[in-house]
Amino acid sequence: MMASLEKDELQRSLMMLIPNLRAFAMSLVRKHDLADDLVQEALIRAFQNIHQFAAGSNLKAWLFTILRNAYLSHLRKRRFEVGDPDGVHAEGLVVPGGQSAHMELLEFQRALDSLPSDQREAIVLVGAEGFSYEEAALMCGCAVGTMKSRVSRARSKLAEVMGLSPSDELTVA
Amino acid sequence: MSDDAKRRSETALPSQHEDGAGRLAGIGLEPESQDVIARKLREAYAAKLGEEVPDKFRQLLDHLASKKGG
Repeated sequence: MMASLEKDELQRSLMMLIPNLRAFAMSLVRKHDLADDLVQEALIRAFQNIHQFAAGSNLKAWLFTILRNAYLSHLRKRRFEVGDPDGVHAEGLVVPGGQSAHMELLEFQRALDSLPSDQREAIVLVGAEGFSYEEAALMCGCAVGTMKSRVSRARSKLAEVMGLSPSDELTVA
Repeated sequence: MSDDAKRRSETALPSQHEDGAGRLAGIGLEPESQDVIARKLREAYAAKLGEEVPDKFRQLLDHLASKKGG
């Protein structure tokens, strides 16, 4: 049986990480209901397998790996289409601020959505979630060099889609 | 964005793998382009992190914890 303190700590830690899990799940499937289903599945698996979690290791990385495995299981089972052809995800983004900033963010989200799934996953894990290349590679079951390559290609494609090139004059806020 | 969401985006981002100027290591891209992409990525992700968590998740965790606790 799980000790009360341990259980409470786990529950609190999981609650804190739900926004990150939902954001990552959204980057994978780009549909809120599916993303939430994956997060719920990941939370259930985490509780079921908490005995496998090594104390002192990275809970967030462990949860992200579980979530990713749940996503792969779901893909295998349902072979659902992960695209966002109608821009449902992009249009549904809640973006604070002015209309111009909103439009820029929508454009970027569309560019991000247009990336191959392995590249999108890589740049989200490393660039947005702050995992190391080593951690992200471990999560995705690939070599560190492969992860670096995916991030680099993702960045190059985003630059291309956004019309950024070495010769462009950029205004950085 | 709520205070909690702001805190999350501030603590989670930028990535530790960016250099001192907040840019991801890149191949064949100008630093300015890398800056723009890193910033946009953070903004887009912060918008997702800032979304309110539905109460069903708290209920699920309560349920799982009660089952686990016996």
